Amino acid sequence: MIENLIYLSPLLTLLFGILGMLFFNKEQVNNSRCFRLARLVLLVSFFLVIVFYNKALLPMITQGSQFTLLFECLLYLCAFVVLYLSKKWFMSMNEPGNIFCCGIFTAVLCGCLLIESHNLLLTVVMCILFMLNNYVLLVNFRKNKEYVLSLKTYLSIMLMCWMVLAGALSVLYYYQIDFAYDMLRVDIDISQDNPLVYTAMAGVIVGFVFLLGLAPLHFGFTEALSETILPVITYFILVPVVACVGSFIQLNLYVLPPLHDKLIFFYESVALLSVGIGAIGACSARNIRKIFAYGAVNHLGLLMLVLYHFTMKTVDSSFVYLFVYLLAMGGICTALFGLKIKGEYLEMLNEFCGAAYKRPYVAAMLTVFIFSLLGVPPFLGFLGTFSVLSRLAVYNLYELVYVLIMMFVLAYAYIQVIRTFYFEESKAVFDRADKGIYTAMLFNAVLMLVIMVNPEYLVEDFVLMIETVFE
Amino acid sequence: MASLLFVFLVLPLLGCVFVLFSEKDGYNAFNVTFFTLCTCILAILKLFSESQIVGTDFVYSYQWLQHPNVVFTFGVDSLSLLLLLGVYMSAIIGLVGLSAPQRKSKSLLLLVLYFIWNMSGLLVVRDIISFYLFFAGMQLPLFMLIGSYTNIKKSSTLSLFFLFNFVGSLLLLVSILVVYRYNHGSVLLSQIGILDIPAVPQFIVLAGVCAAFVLRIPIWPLHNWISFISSGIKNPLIYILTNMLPLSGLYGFIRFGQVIVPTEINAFVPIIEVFGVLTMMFIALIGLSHKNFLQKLFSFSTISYLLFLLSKLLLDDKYQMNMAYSLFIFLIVNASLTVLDLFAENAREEAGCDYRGVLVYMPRLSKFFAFFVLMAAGLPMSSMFWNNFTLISALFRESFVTGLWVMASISLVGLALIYELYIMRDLQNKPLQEYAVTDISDRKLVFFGCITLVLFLSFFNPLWFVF
Amino acid sequence: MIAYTTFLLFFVGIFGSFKTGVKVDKILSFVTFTSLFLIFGNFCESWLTGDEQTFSFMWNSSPGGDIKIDIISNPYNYGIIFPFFMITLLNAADNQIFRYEERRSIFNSLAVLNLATLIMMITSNNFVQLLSMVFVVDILALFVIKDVNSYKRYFLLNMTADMILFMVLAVINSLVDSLDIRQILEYKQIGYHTDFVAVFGLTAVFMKLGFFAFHIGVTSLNQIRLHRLQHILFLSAPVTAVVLLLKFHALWSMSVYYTVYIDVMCIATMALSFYGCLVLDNLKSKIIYWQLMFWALFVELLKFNGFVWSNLFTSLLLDMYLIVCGFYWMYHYFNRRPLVSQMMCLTSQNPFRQDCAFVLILLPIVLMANTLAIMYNNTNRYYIWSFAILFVLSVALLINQVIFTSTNRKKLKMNLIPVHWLYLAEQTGIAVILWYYFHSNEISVLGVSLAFIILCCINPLQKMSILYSNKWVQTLDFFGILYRTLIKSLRLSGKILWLLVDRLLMEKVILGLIKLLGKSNIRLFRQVHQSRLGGGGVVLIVLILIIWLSYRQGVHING
Repeated sequence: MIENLIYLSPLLTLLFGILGMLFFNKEQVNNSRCFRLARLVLLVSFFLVIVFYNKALLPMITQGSQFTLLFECLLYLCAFVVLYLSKKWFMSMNEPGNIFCCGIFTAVLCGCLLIESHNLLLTVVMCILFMLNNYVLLVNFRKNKEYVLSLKTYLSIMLMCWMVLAGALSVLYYYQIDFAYDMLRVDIDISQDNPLVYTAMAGVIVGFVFLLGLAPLHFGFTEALSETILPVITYFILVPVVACVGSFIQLNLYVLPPLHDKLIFFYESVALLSVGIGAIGACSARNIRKIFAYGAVNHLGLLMLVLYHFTMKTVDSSFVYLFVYLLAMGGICTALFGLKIKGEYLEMLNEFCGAAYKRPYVAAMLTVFIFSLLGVPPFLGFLGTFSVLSRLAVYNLYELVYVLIMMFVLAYAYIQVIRTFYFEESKAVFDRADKGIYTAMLFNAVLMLVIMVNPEYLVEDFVLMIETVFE
Repeated sequence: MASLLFVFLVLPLLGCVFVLFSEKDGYNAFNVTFFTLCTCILAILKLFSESQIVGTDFVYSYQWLQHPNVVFTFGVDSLSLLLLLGVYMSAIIGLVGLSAPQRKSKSLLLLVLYFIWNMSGLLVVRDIISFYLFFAGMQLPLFMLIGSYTNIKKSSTLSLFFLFNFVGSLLLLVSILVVYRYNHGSVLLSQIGILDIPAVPQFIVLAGVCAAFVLRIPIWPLHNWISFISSGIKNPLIYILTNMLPLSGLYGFIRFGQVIVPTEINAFVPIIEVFGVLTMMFIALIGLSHKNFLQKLFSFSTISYLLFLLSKLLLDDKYQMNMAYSLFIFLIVNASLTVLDLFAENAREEAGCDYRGVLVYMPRLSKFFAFFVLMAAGLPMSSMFWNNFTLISALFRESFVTGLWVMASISLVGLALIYELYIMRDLQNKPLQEYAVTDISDRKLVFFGCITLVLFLSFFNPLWFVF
Repeated sequence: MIAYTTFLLFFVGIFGSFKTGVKVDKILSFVTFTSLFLIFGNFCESWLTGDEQTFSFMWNSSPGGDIKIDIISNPYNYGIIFPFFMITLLNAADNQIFRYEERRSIFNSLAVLNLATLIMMITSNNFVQLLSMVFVVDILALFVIKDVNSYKRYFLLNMTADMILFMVLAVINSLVDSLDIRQILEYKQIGYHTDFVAVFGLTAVFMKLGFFAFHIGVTSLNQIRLHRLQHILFLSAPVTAVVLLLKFHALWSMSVYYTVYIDVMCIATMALSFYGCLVLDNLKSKIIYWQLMFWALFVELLKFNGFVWSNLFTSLLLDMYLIVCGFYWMYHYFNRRPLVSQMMCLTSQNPFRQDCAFVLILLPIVLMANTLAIMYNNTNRYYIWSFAILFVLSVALLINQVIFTSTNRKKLKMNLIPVHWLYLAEQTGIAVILWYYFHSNEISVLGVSLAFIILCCINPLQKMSILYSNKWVQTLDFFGILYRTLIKSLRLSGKILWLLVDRLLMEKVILGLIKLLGKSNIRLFRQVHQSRLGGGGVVLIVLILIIWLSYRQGVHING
């Protein structure tokens, strides 16, 4: 019992953190102290996760491995980055950040359980909790009329997903199928021709599609992100993605192989739709956050397009792409944190006119990250793009061509951002960027450079950890 | 010597770092850039002489990834070294042409060095993936340079420029990925021809490669991006670099053309030939109609690139060195004329004098200008003359009609350049006015004197500088 | 050995081309002239000793064949080079005597370098060497002309000719697969594009000679100094054209158009030049047209002689040079006043000068008539005489106007410049030498002289001088207009193409369509996303559809 409690310590730490944050909220403790403590809690939890990397958090329903450790590490790192950057925003806007920290802790907690989950019930519950947490974060910040409308959209899609997930569980329960992954796989194998079982499992996947913001459930995701605050966007673009991808891979490898043939078209359609909608949506947007939100839809769609084959090589490639995506998107968010006028963070594209002249380093780094996302060499993005596209070339050339066309469309959208930054003139006075922003960007850039020069760290060492999922 | 090749490859990047940390609002960055380029030229000359002595190519490899097996392979031969020398000399000429405020711009020089690094990387790579790396990599610095330091603020033109190049890169990427599909890992350029690829994918590879390179070389109807861009650039260095971009496409044809099975590539040759010839005539006529020297120079450079392209596609590899000699001279002549013309244009605007007869007020510049114009027009002042003669006569052997069109275009553009030179030297019987037009300085006089000497001596021996 | 002469000439040319002060320049020009004279002596000595050596240097190699520099010494080459050497020497001597040039040494150097280039061209056996030298001669001509306004047409036309020649030689090289000129006879066996090569090759030659339709390049040189004009007319592009004819006639004669083309062009040029000589008031223009007439005659004579050079051609060239020198004297005497209508009548002047002038013109005329008579005997072609008569008639008209016609022009105040005795001595000396070497046992001098004097006195065409005052005739530039129209139409077509293709088709239509497509896609996208309820419905339907289709697909696969 005590041993189990010790193994559960990372989650307990996070739980204490959540409670602490709620207490701070009541006591109105200042932001600086609050974020300092939040980071400390996160670091302690992270440390504990690493120490007990091969131990299940909740025996029987979770399982730890090198694969889960890798995703958990990524999750913690993303959460840490979000906290680090968000502090600047909350300090600058003088708004309490306790609820936000609470949300991050909850997300990490849910994410860890989701990644380690070996029980469908736990997976679904964590998905639902994750969605709820996301909604709470969205609701808590910014409440103008337009935003309320976006939230309603998000909420309605979320409720629909809940219903779908609940329905899926009900169907499986009705057929007396065990929720533990190993048993579930056997049961699904037996009843694989049952359309209702198929539908139930497709319903579970719908939950992941929503969490990842993939098309056609991207509505709430992109609309809400364009209206919300920068820390929440950063969170949305980084944290749920890691947790969901990790869990999604395990679910598909441990549970769904019997249904793989039937799900292929579903995955493929979702991925292709996301790639297309993401690219066109980015072109149609004038709000920089929306552009990157749609960009994220595109990139995750591409990731899905390769991942859905669920072979060792496609999983490896997808991981490389995910890693590169996280670095680049993290970098872009960092750059956006560094650009504000009179204390106000900017949203519309035209507000960034001439930013490169006032904040050259921030703009330069943003450009590097954007080109990295586009896969333009010699940036790290090339490694990710090459990694997934080379897999795609092996599987389907038509999809490859489609992806490249959409990449071209997305490039147009990103070019508009760079053009606005560099080639438009403006007399706006940008505020001096925090040193922390520069530090974060420098750290990101150095990491990218090191990996680009010697990608063995990423492609060989990390991938070895990834491959444990196939054992 | 492989280590020298490595050093040569790293030098521009090292220059970038130094420029990045150089002092603001000073000439430090400029000096670093100039020094870097000069050092690179010395390295090229050393590589040249070593390659002449040893008689073999140097190859340097770097294992980037093990799974998939991606090995970056670099190597040099006389062709690539000549082109490298041309590129670096053009860059130095462009650098000399920068005005004082432009010389203080760190970001400009940083991007220039980065572009040059990409270009030199492209010219020394031996494997398909690293070829793509540099081919695609050079569009970013150029896009930033054009957007930030030229008068082209029209978004559609800039976007068009980037997207055209991006499409080219994507097409090359498709080809590389298809090759990758059948041969996991790096493939040396020399091995592409012997890969066991089925007919349809091979067609896709070739189509992708050809389209990617054609997009870089301004062949009608894909020439718009470069003509739109060229008309708006007033910075000599950026103009030179922009007009160097087609070299990447041409070099792609040279390198890929060596290895692609002739029967496969033959399917595309007539199409490219027809469009190439039509574009040449079209550009020559347009060049004739423009009343601006830079536009005519653009026509000249486009037609020259197309001549080299047709030579590559239609002729044997034995003509490769003739092409390289001509290209080397062409790059330098083009760069020199750009710098001189833009200098004259700026001086003219400052002094407020007319375009017609402007060279009368700048006797020093006028001499060099005339020399380079006559060289560009095809007069025997450099090795370009007899090498072009060899290429054109071989073109005539392959296709008489193509040869005729090529010759007509070259003659038209040559005459257009000479006519413009006449306009710039002719005061139309007006008396000399009291304009304070600045002529080129003593330093530039010496510099262009040296360039002239380099070119003139090449007439007698195209590799006179190799000892 | 010719190679030795050539290298010495290059050395002297480069040595004299340095820009120095006036005093040094005088010394330098004298040194260059003396050197030229000595080299000429050496050249003649080598010729007389029957030197036959070959200098051959492997310059470069190319896939089209080896590029060699050949300077071949043989009596034939010596014979061709001799008149041009002689003319260069005379030109340099006149430059010493008349002192028009601010930098005489530079002019001498240009002449010397030009001569060296011509020698290399004449002795060449390689396309690249030949072509290079043709171009170099044109570049040197630019320096000689110096005047920007004058060289525009001349240089553009010559450049066009060079480009055409470049093309023709490229075609020949492509078929013969050798850069050796001696291999062109193999071309006969191959037999492709013979008409093309002949027509275009001859066109280039005619452009260089300034023949009919291409004469505007030469006629536009009437503003430059007369001794520079002499250089251009006798030592520049026309000479390269003659050399090209000598080297390629065997190849070009394979075409059926060859004879016709040459005859038509020579006759047309002769007619045009005769008209020009009669109606134009400007002495330099007249000289240019005489020269054109001469070259037309020269080409015809070469053709009749099978394009084999002989001493008679040397004589003819030198005779013509002496005739032009006679006019030069006249021009100089009238203080470089170019219009004939403003030249004072010489009868009202010193009778000695009148005699001198007359002798200076008469001597070479007689020599030329003598040469033509010998040629007539050789070729038995009557229209050589018709050419000669037209030529002499037009010269006689001028002599008649300037020397024999007494008009009221004496009222014009003119600062007359007496001619240097050296010049007179030089002209007479050369004429005598020529007579001694080429004409000592030929037709009656007295008869020809008498005929010429009669023609000069009673010139039947003297009424044509009334056209001197006709502004329209004097300024008519029909071919200039024609060329301008041609260039304008080319430029216009370029402009139209640019507008139609670049602006209209590419920018407005194709790129516009792409933009429109993109915009409409985005509009559609926005509309779907704006209508939240409708969008939600669509999403739901799409989702269900995908799931259903996926199931169907899976069932189908499992089959």
